[in-house]
Amino acid sequence: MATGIVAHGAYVPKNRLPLEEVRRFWGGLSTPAIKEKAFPSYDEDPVTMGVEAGRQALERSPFGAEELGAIFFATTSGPYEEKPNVSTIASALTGSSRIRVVEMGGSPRAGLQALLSAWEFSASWSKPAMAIASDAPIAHPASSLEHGLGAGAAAFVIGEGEGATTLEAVESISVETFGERFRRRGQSYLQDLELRQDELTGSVLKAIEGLMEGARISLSQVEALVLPDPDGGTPARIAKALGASPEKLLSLTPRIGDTGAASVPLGLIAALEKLEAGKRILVCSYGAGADATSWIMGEASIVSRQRGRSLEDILERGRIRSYGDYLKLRGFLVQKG
Amino acid sequence: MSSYVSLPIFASTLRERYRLEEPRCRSCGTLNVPARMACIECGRGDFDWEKLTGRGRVFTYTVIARGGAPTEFDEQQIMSGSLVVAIVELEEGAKVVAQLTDCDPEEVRVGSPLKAVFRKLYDQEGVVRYGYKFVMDEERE
Amino acid sequence: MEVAVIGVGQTSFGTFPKKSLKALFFEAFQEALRDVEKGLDPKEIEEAWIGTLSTGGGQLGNQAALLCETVGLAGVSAHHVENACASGGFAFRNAVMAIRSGRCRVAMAAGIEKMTDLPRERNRLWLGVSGDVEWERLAGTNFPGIYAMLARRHMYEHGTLKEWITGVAVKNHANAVHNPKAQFRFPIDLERAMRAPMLADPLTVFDACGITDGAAVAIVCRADEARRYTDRPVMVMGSGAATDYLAIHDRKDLTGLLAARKAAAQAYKEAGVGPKDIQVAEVHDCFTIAEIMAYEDLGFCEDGQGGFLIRDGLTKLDGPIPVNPSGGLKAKGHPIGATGIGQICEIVHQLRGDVQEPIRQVKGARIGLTHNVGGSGGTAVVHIFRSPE
Ligand SMILES: [Zn+2]
Repeated sequence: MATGIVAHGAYVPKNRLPLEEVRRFWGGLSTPAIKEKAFPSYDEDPVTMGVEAGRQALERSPFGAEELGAIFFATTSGPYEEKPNVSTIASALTGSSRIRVVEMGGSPRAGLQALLSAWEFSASWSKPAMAIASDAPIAHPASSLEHGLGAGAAAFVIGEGEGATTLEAVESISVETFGERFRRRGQSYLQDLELRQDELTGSVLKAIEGLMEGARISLSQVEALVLPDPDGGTPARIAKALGASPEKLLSLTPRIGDTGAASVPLGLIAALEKLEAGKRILVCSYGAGADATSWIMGEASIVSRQRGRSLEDILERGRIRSYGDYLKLRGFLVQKG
Repeated sequence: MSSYVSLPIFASTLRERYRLEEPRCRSCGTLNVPARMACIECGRGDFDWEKLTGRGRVFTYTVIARGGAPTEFDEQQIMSGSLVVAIVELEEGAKVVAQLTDCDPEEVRVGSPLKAVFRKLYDQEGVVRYGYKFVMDEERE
Repeated sequence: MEVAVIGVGQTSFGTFPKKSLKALFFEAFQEALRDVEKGLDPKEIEEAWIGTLSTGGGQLGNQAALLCETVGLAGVSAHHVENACASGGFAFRNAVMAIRSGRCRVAMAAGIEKMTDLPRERNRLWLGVSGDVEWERLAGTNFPGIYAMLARRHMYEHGTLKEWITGVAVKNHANAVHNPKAQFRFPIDLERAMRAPMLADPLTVFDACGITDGAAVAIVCRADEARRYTDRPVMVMGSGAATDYLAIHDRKDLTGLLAARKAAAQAYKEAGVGPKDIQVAEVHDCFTIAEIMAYEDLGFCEDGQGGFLIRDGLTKLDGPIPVNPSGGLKAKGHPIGATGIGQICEIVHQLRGDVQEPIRQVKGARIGLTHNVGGSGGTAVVHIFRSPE
């Protein structure tokens, strides 16, 4: 039996802000390709969203929470910079304390990194592991970077199982970058110097081309493409450069905004909820370099998606809020200290 | 100066607040929520802990106007305005008190189906307190 | 050993930010002493119980000793009683028990609370410290929310209408107009009260009592010696008290307060009377719904029918069973620790036939009752009194 994804779960906060509201409030919109974004309520954060996604994955999983050997958690916006957010998640998911917990961050790339690490853990130790990517990146509401930022979480149970969605190949790139999407220690808000140098496209193309070459895959053998999508338009641009059909692209960004580390994992879930068994999914994430992965859809993911609420159902159950509600619920109006 | 639940005491209830595990009396079968030293029904003290489904129904509820909640919830009330609190009758029989979240107060009724979710309760001393709240269960009537 | 009340006194209940705890207590004590018809040497008081929540934290420890020394009782055996809003009623019960035990001849029961000198924010810290802290409070609710949930359940189970519930406030405000010691001496209009801003749905700000300063003192002695002090001693016929689970989710029934039922049953049994014999009552209407529940818990009506008493006006001053002629907690005021003793002051005056403004006098009342509840029913104490022969 192969090691792979045996169950998945998603969580998207109910709150939705139509980006038309942002345009009306600020007189402009930096991400016109994003129609709506999801945002956390006053009592939600990457920890609570991660727990809910994790619970859905476990409800669908052939392995119980107590069987998990590790949880890999990715976020760029956890409530604590020190004190592991993942330990809270682990305590909420399982009563067992005999579990390895790893927290990853630093860039939106962390989500796919957590999935890869969970896969590698499971393949090395023949034990099930969980990967959770949950994020609600935040910038100052007066900055254009903030317009498209959303929130969501994706969780995967990885283990040896009949019909698992298996990892076929990985290609990783690392580059030094300056001035794009960073947050210094102690700062609350993301910054971007808007240097107009497209590091993203170069790294992603390089990683995907390396992956396809190494694994001898051609684009025609790829059924779905999940690409980094901070603005609702990037995947189409990359697909054009690759020569891939835009119909193969899967991204939730136009519907729920840029969910940071959860964005690409949520795109993968969209693929797992759509494809037939045997189809190939190419998944690539970005953050000072890129990780490109290819997965072969398995029966287990089809069984998984038939239990409980579908991703589409979760996406449809949003509740439209005003920009005023957005500012309040997101905590921008709470005076600290 | 006021009522206060210290962190170690809060931590002693994590099993309940985080995972909704509660003790069932070995002598009389009564589920004790929140956990007790002695069974609420028969007074004996041997329990088996079980994980609850988190499903329940509104037994009674209220919508507390802004500023009416305990001070732990001051920051929440800046963000949420009013807050909804309910006594929830759990599927397993016991009742608990909890906030209802993500809900339109106009839609809540005695008897509305609920399910437990994991949320932030409040933030004090720089430490986030998490625990269960309930949302309307859209998959049940 | 029968117990008699020989003197009562209370400050006006209201907003007196500049009156200290000591000043309030002094005032109530002096009035109680003056109320002892034939006089009492304070040195005859052997035991004192003072009920208070100590709101504000002005004097958290040893408050009873401090207040006793303030009124010239330095040296007396004194005790602080804290049972939330029922502290005063329990202080009185302790004094009754002490006399009954034969251990002492004359005892003092008092209550006090100083609430209006605090900034609004600091005052909020002190509200809702008497419910279940670990679960109820951390679920985001204190007493307005708890009583609102009880009200909702009463409405759901018994079809009680909100206008009957709020009718309690209308009635009690009407009574307080005639009480010179009441905090809110103005009538209110049902329609306006119904439209008032929500506090905790379905309760509006008019369904809740306010923030009050006040002190009250009652002096009791052995009944067989009462005539030495007064020709009009009021007899304590019965005393009952009980507790219940603090958190309402631990209770089976949410349409009444079991502790109050138990306390009432004990008091009736001791007194050898029943609900039908009560001719005037002061009940604990911290929220309007609490008075509706009190009617049922005290047996003034069948379970679930408390609302009808308001609908039919049966508990108005001129009704068959006048309730809260003083204005109740709602309109007379609710200085937490003082409330239970304040109720006793009112009933003693009613049974002696000497209330300050005769329009408020329940004519010919011979048997009266006080009902004092702590928190949302975690504690309750009931007393029954008989007028002088
Ligand atoms: Zn038992």
